[in-house]
Amino acid sequence: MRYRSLQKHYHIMLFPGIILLFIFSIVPMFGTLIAFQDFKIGLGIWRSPWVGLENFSYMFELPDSRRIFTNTIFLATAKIVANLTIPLIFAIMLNELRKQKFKRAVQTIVYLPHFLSWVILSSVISDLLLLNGPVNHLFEAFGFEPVMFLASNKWFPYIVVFSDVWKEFGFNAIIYLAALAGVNPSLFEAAGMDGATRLQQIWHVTLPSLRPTIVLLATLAIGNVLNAGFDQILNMYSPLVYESGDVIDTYVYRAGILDGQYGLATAVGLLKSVIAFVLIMTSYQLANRFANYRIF
Amino acid sequence: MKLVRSRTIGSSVSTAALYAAMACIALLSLAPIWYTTAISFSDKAAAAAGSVTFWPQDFNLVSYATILGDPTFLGAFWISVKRVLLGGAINFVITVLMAYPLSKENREFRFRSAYMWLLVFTMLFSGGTIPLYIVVKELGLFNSIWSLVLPSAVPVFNIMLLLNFFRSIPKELNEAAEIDGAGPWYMLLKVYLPLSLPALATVTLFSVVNHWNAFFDGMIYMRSVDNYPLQTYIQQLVVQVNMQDISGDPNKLDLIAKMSNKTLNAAKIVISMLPILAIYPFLQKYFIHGIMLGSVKE
Amino acid sequence: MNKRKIFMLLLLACSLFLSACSGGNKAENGGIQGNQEKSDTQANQNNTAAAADTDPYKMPEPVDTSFVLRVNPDLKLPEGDTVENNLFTRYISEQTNINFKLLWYASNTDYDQKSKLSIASNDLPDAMVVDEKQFRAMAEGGQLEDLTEVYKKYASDEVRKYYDSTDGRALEQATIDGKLMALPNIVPQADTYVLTWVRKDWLDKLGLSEPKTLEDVEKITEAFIKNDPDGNGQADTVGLTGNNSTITQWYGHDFRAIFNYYNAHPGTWYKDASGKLVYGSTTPEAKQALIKANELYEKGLVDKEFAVRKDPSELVNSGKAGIFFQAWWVPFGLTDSIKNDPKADWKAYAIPGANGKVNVTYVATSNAFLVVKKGYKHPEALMKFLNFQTRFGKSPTEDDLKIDHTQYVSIMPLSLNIDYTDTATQKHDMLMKALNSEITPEQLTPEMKGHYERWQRVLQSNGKPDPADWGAPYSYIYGIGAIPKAEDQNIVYPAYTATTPTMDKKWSNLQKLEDEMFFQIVLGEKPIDTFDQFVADWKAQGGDDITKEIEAELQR
Repeated sequence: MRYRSLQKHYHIMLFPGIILLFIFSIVPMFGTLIAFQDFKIGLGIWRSPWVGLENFSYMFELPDSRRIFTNTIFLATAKIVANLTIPLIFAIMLNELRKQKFKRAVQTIVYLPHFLSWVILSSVISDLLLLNGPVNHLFEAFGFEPVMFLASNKWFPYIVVFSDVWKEFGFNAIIYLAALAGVNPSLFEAAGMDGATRLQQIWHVTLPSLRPTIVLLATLAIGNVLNAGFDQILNMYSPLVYESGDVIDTYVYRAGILDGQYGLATAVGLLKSVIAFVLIMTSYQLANRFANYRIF
Repeated sequence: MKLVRSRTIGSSVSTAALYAAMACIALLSLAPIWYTTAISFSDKAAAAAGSVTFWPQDFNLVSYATILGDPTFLGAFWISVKRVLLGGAINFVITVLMAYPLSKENREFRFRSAYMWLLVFTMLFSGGTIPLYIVVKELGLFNSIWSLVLPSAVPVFNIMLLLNFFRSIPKELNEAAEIDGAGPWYMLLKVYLPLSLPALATVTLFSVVNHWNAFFDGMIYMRSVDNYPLQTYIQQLVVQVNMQDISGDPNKLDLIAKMSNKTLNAAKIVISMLPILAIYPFLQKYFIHGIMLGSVKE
Repeated sequence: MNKRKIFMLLLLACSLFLSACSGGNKAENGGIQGNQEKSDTQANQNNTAAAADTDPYKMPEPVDTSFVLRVNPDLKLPEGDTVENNLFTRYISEQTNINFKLLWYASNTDYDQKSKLSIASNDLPDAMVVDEKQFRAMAEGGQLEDLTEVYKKYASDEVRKYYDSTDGRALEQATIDGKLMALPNIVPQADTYVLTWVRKDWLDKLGLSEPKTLEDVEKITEAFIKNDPDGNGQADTVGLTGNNSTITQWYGHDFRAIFNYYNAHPGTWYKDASGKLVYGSTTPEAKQALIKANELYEKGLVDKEFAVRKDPSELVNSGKAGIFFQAWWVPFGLTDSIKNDPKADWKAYAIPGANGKVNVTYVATSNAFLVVKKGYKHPEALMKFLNFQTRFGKSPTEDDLKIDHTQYVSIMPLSLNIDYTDTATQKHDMLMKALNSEITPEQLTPEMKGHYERWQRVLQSNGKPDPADWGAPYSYIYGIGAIPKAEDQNIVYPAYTATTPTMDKKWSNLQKLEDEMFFQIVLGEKPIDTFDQFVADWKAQGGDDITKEIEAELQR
């Protein structure tokens, strides 16, 4: 009963946001029509010829579309897993620090690389990985042959994933830290009183209190299964590592250099959105049905 | 409030190891920033030769003078500040207003799921640059700061974070307050918000960072460089020339001389990072110290 | 109470927002309408005056033309002047009666993005300069005014002279279905010459003579690597630099020089000696070049890490490389090298190919197009402005010379270069004549007079020239100076520079095939015989279809 009287207020609270979404997100969605067009910039959205699903089939008909999709999914999945777990571990470790100044300093420093663009970071990385660079010196110290990492199809994917984690883990950890900060300290107190070891505390108190955050982030991250990180790869790859590093976005980008290819780019974007939407909706439903848990 | 902890020899060894590990991780993260800063204070020719490593070479401030000495810089800085304040405020209000009703159970708010999926939908699907450009143009927002803050006014990801946080606030509070006759607005402003400072600090940080870093919208919606926000302004200082398209054009030839200016690029990164660093501690304290959930403790 | 207050606040905020939006909207629409009305009335006046309108530079009545401008980011204008209103624009409107209205301006990179969006959303200025792709797209979309009549009627003799010097190729490129849809530029082809830049001071030190053949280049490279030319006692000198993104495309530091040596012209569609249309990356000559490039790499004469090195110019600037392939203008970017080592004495050489001629692949005659928006009332104004612009740069009147060219030429609206294709060589000759006192500096064009003065300052600087002075004249003197005489050249003209429908679909795949294979062959990861497989794949995966399409296009 009383909920009904509240509902009016809820609608009012949502109203401004919904209006803005309508104007700046929903209305522009007429742009997805481009995905079904042979879009020509001179003709615009209203006059470009329709081509049905041709833009969608394009990616699948390429001679090496299999390789491109495998690369994309491999890199994206590795990044999703690494970018969920490593910031989590880091946040838990940081949470164990008691010296507040040290803790704050570390936390501030690790979030800084987020602000460096891949243009800059990629040149730092390529310097580090040169034949006479520090990484190869380390390799030689352990008796290995020096490696041209960025020209090696064996190494390239790992470098991509590792450097992405390096850049983003500090920033990604912030959400976990915020969630930890909201945990009722009396829970830790109680665990401490019971004589729980540190690891036990982490296992029984810290992790469960992070569970909603982890589930939310994981669900949303699943939607990225076709996003391997365009900016990063574009700045780090070369034709020598197309075999392991060419992904959907970089391919579409190169296709676009020649002739705009807005249709292809929009189609690929739409395809990625649909897949993300389906995956997210599925995990939402599964969580709801089997764990009776709503992610958002 | 001090936490009670059992301290044994084993734990102090592991504590030392923990501190050492964290210090190493921090150094690893600091390295690229340090390197960039060193380049920004170096001589252009030394940087172009790639000979800068740990310390600046031929220390000088030319790059900073170039950026800071341009009157457009101050204007762009001010536009960015306005953008962050206005955009951040709008994001904040919208986030709070939307997260609260959406944090309710379906039985409490019947249309919750419909709204929620609409939000998820808009987060995942986008019409692309061209239609948004047309919309902004038709609304007459070109050259206006509103073109920078309104299209990104609804940060769906932030809303999801906050609504999840709201959900973790005990239901008993709700009921207690409602018995006292508190309406939803009172609940939101006086009960939920004060309890959610870590999450609020996080979403605020995210929207501030987003607004501060954004450059593409400024570039396409602003018709004069005088209206560029800082990142857009700085972005266009980094000269890119298509080497196949020089054509003896004196302008383009002039650009080549400026193209490989690594110190300028580095300085622009340092300069654009500083304001974020400056405000960071004020937000950081909320999500790193945590808060005492006084009312929950009882 | 509280609730109501907040509700009212929200309402207020909403209405404020809406009024802000619509307010802005009105203002802009008002502006546009105002312009249109104004130009309508002018059009009427003009119709009456049209009969007497014969001045090649000046409109009979003032007209407004909106345009967009590409500016360099650190543009400095005198106090009180703006990009839209300055001494220069006032002079233009005095000379031509054209009042340029700036719709937007942006720096180099932003400009491309913004103009694409402008075109795609049909948010166009009255006139703009676009590239070939955009030009064709706009023409296809019916966004452009036909300029055939305008050109016939109003083009100045000077402009015609330059267009005619291309044997009609320039205008042909701007002609679609028999109609002239744009005013094209004329590309100075000097950029296309692959020059070998060598540290002359290192040559002298090691007692080597200047390179005349590819063999010489190899010997010099080997000597630079082995004989410690910088005298620092360390074997830290690499050989030829490479480009990490391409083997063949002329971005600089790539191996196009080796291809040109074998008279191979990768990346270009041209007619070979027998008149057959070929794609230059798939010819037997290209294979020879790849064999050579691989040989150089295996011998260690090429930077071993070129494929992963982000910025080969670091090697040049730090004195670790003393020989590389680049265009004539590279001194504009060599100032850092000179600063790090004032002894560095870079000289350029054009190496003749195996056929005894310097082989060069020309690019399209035109790559920039001045277009006029469909429905703009005064297309002839743009023709007159091009007449004026060309006069201003190439044969200035007394009045023109009073305007500071170096200051204002960078904000020339709708800047379009109309000149001879070998203009750079002519400029070089002129500059040399002035330097040898055969002519006075006053006889030079304003541009070359500027370079002359810069070079005088360099000569008086006791070996410590201002980098801003040094690059331009040095490039014209030594870079262009290396370009051989016409009879020693073998020029290959591209037969086709636009795109065909199959290219739209399949080119990115073919390009990938090519890039990947060429890198692998040069680095020795794949044996040279895979080139034949590449050619077969290339043909099967769309190359043959494209060739047919282009042949059909060329026969039209």
